[in-house]
Order: sequence, then C-alpha cells, then structure tokens
Amino acid sequence: MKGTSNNPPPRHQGTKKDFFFDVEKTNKAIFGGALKFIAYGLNHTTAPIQVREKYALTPDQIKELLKGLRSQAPEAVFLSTCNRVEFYLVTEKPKESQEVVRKALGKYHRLKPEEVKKFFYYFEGPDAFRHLFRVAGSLDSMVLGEAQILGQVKEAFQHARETGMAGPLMNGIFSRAFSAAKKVRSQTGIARMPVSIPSVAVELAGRIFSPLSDRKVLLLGAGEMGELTAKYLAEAGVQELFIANRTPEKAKTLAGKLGGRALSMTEGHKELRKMDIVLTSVSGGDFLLTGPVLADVMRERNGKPLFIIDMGVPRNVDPEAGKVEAIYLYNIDDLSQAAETNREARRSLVESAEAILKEDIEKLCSWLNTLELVPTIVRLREKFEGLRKTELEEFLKKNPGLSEKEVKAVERLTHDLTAKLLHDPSVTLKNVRTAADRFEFARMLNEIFALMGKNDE
Amino acid sequence: MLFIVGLWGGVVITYGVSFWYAFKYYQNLENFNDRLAVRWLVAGFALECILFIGRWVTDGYAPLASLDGIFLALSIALALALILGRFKAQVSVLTSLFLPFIFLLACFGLAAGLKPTLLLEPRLMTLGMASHIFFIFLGFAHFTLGFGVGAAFWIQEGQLKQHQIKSWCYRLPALEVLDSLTVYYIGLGFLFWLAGLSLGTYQAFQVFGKMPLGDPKILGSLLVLIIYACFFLLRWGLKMRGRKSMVLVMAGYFLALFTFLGVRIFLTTFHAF
Repeated sequence: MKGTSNNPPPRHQGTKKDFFFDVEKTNKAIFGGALKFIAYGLNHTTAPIQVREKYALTPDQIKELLKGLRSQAPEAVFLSTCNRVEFYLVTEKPKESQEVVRKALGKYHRLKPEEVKKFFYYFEGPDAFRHLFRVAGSLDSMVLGEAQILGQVKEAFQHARETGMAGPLMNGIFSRAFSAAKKVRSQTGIARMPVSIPSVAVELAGRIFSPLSDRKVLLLGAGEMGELTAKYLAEAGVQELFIANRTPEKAKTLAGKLGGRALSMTEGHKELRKMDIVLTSVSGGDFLLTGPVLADVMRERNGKPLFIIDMGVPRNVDPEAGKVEAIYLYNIDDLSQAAETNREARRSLVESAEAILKEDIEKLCSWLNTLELVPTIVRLREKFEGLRKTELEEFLKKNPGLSEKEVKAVERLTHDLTAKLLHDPSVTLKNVRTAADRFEFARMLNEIFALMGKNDE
Repeated sequence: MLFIVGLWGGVVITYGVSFWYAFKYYQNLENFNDRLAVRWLVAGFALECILFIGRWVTDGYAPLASLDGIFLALSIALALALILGRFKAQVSVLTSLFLPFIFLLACFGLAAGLKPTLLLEPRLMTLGMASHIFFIFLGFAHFTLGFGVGAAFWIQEGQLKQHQIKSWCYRLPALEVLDSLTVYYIGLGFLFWLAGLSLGTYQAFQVFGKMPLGDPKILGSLLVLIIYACFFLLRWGLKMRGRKSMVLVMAGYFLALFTFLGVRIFLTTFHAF
C-alpha cells in the first residue's frame, strides 16, 4: 500500500472528473485505515485570550503554514478566528501531526510548543466531523448562533483550496458541513433572535416601524450605550438622526461621527413630537422626559407610535410614560432581559440543531464508506473501456470499407452497451451497506474480472 | 359531473401543495417556500375561476345556488382577498395563516360537489341575486382577513407593551404594516359588503316587492356596516389608533360571523343560507 507522507497525491480542486480520480488515489491509503480525519486546536473554552491572540495570523501566513504541512498531511484546513484556532487534517499520523502543528505555529509566536499543549483538544473520525459541523453551525461559538463563523470557516476552506491543500475529502466534508450549517440556521432559526442590547433595540424598532429607513431618531445625551445603539440604528438604514446634548461640542462631534445633526437639549425637547424613536443616555439627575410631557407629545402625534429606549442609569424617562397609549418604553434592564430571553431561546434550539447535524454526519459517513468501492468501480470501468476499444479496433481493421457514419454508429453502439452493462453493478456496489459486504464485493469483482495488476496486488 | 369533480380535485391538490409550501415557510422562513406557496395559490385560484365559469356555463346559472357553489365562491373570495393583500404588502406570513382556511373550504366544496344540493328557489336565480351573494362573500372574506391581521396587531402590540415578545412573534410584520393592512382589508370589505347589501335590497324589491327589514340577517349586516363606519370615523376624525380601534375591528367581525353563520342556527331568517 502506498504511503502518502512521501508521495502526497496531486491536488485537485475543480471538476467532478478530477474529484473522482483523486479519490481513487487518496483512498488506496485511507481505507486500509491509514488516513484519518482529525480536528486539532484550541478555543475560548480551553485557552485564555492571552494565548489565542498569539495565533492571529495574516492570510499569507496561513497559506505559508498550510504549505508547510504538506509533507505531514495530504489535506489540511486552518481556521483562525478571535475565539478559536483549529486545524482539520487528513493525515496518516495523527499523533505526529499534533506535534508538527504546534511546532509550525511556534514559528509565529514566542510560546513554546510544550507550554501550549495543555490548551489543545483533539478529535478524530466521526468526533472530528461532529466538531467541525458544530463549529460551522455556530453551536460551538461563544455567542450561540452567531452569524460570522460560517463565513470564517468558508474563508479558511478557501485558503486551503488556494494553497492546494483541500482535496476531494476536504471538499466532500466541508461542503457537507456548510450545507448542514445552513440547514441549522434556516430550520431552527437559531440566529433569528438578537442577543446583544443594541441589536435587541433595533429589532424592537423593526417590530413597530416599517421600513426603518424613513424614521427620525433622536439621541438625547451622549452615553456609550446610546451612541452604540444609534450606530446600530444607522446601520439598519435610519437616515435622519438627531443628537442633542448638554454640551453642544460633544453633540457636534457625535453627530459628525454618526452622520447626524447636532441639536441643543432645548431644541431636542421641541423636536420630540416629530420623532419616531427616542434614545436617552444621560447620566444622573431627574427624569429627562416625564409622563405628562410625553402624554402631551402623543396628543400632537395623532396616535403615531413612539419608541423610547432609555439607556440611562438612573433612568432618564419616567416609567409612567410607558402606560401612555402608543408609547413603547424600554429601559436597559428590559433590553437586557429580552436579550437573555433570546439567548435562552437559542439554547433551547441546540437539541434540534444537533439532531440535524447528526443526520448530516451520518450521510457524510455513508458517503465516505461508498468511497471504499470507488477504486474497484473505476478499475471495472477502465477494464470494460479497454476491452471495448481493443475489440472495436480489431473490428474496424477487419472491415475497412465502413463509411464514417457506420463507424460512428458502431462506436456509439459499443459505448452504450458497455455503459448499460456497467450501470447496475455500479449502483449496486454503491448501495452496499456493511463494510464486510463491501470488502467481499470488491474482492469478488477484483477476482472475477482480474482487475488488479501484479503491481497493485 | 366527472369533469366538475375532476376540477374540484385539481383545486384541492393545488391548494394542498400551496398549503404545504406555506407551512414550510412558516417553519423555516425561507423565501423560496413563500414564493412557491403564492404561485400555487394563484394557480389554485385560477383553477377555481375556471371551475366557477364551467359550472355557470353547464348549469346556466352562477353556481351560487348549491352548497358546493357556496364553498367555491367563499374560497374564491378568500383567495382573491389574500392575493390582493399580498400585492398591497409583502407579508409572507399571511399566506401561512390563511391558506389552511382556503384549503379546507376547497375540501368541503369537493365533498359537497359529489352530491350537488340546490338551495335557492328558481325565481331567485337571477344575475342580481348571484351578484348580491358574491359581493357579500367578498366582503366577508375581506373582513376575515382584516380580523386576522387586526388580531395579530393586538397580540404583537400587547407583547411589545408588556415587554414579553414570544419567539413566534418574530414571524409577524411590524405594527405599522399590520395596522395599514387592517385598514385596507376593512375598507375594501366595507365597500363589498355595502355593494352586496344594496344589490340584495334591489333584489328584495324585485322579487318580494318590499325590504324585510326585520330579518336578523339584514339587521346584523347593517349593524356590521355601522360598526365599521364608526371604526373609520374614529380613526380619521378622532385619530384613534392602536388597540382601541382594533376592538371595533374584532367586534365588527364577530357580528359579521354571527350574521353569516349564527343567524341560521340560532334565529329565524328568510335567507336560504
């Protein structure tokens, strides 16, 4: 059996045909049990930020690192985000690879490989698949269901492709991981509910107004949370943003930063009736907006709803205002509570997400199992094709008077006949379920049709 | 007969497929499921229209005098209201909420179509009477959708006010959209209902020579018109919006429902259905 560490198989990234033949070569080693799929790395649960930040590499460094692993693993993907550093390898020597990976990473920081060993985890085979699928599906993230991770895994895979380190196996495994991750997102809706305070505020605004783009937003005060929420609202499409502050300079600076208009506090109060969303973020003092003031404002608004987000501690808006018809008043605790409820809702979806992943991992394993028979099927096809060509040549030699049209007809006839003869055996082989049966079928076919050359044996 | 039942079967299957995609959309919120649901809904509606015209041609009278015809007309009216509403506002979840009713009506129609039952006297089988029935159906369909959207507004508004937003609420559109859609449905329903009542009055004078004002169906229908007129007056005159105005929408609908179905069960009316 050929070893892959000395003669790594050529890299293929494109067509189905490439993929098909590369599988044959790679799996000569894999399904003798030599190659293994492993996940090796560290994340926010195993390593502190001081360690993780050392592994922040540039795309060029990542590519260089991957190329350096070529002699160790025929296929490798390196995933580096702020919360995780992971290698996915198809390798013959899992234990040795772990050492090599740590040493390779050592080139880019000053941590000794032995020192960082304790932060690393290791998964092999189906456990590694499960880990990858959980990572891509955002079930292993610090913020459960966050949207960025899938893009980051895709990017990591792209780097591997560009360096020729993503072959047929990684293609098959990662494409299934991406599809499972999408399924998790769409079928469970795990990412639908916002979990940060500013995003909850934007989401609530979207529950009241549609579209958000033509709404007027007033930010009273220049507190950090208020500014952040205003920024989120601007990103959500709000175009008219007014900033009122006791210090006019501060209001002007913030208005410049957020693309809004600066107002004095008095002007801000006057403009209240024209606003749709009011953000208050003032520190200390009495209520900035009282119930009666807001009741008066609402009378002038002809029943139009007003969304007030009170980010101040102590509160800036009289809680009585929340009782006024068409006023939706949320303070920082309400938003935190909503964010926590959403986080809880996301956690409750993990079980159904895991079930989706399990199903897809089973499919991946079945696909990998079918690859065992690929070399046999390929040899069988090659044998039949060889026979067809030889017989056709002899026939054409014996019948030189045939017209071009007749030659083509004979060619097509033999081609179709071979294809039809091979179709059913190929399908049957791919559907064989147990490993023992697959082995037996492959052995019988190899013997009956003398598929193995002397060297292969 | 076989042709009619076959068409009914086609309608049921088409709405069934639409219902399936709408259900898938409700589960996953994937837009392509919604698009497919709407396409199948339009196909089902088109088939129903063919069936309606086919029945009209074969029977020589608009198919509003038999039980399956009533289900057919109601289903057409609801499907039309739903399709028009989708053009007015891209509220995908509407399809998921109302398709089950359209599908059920089509199923009942198919069942009733196997043994057609004539409900109207021959002297009432006029074009005017058919128009009266169909306009009332159209009005009722719009009131039904208006009530559904208004109820969604009521629930969503209450949850926003009490800071308790349930996860299924994320499927609903913004309050403003629900509000304007309610006004749209009630407004159109009001016009259809008014047209239906006017045509009914004309027919009553034509056939009976008088307007039986004491009939509970007629009284109920007039009261529905008054409630919805109040809804618009308070909205435009006193700028009353939000939950208070939705109380009128719901009250109006419950009365319309009672007039439509309850009167024949609990009271005496000269209306055939």
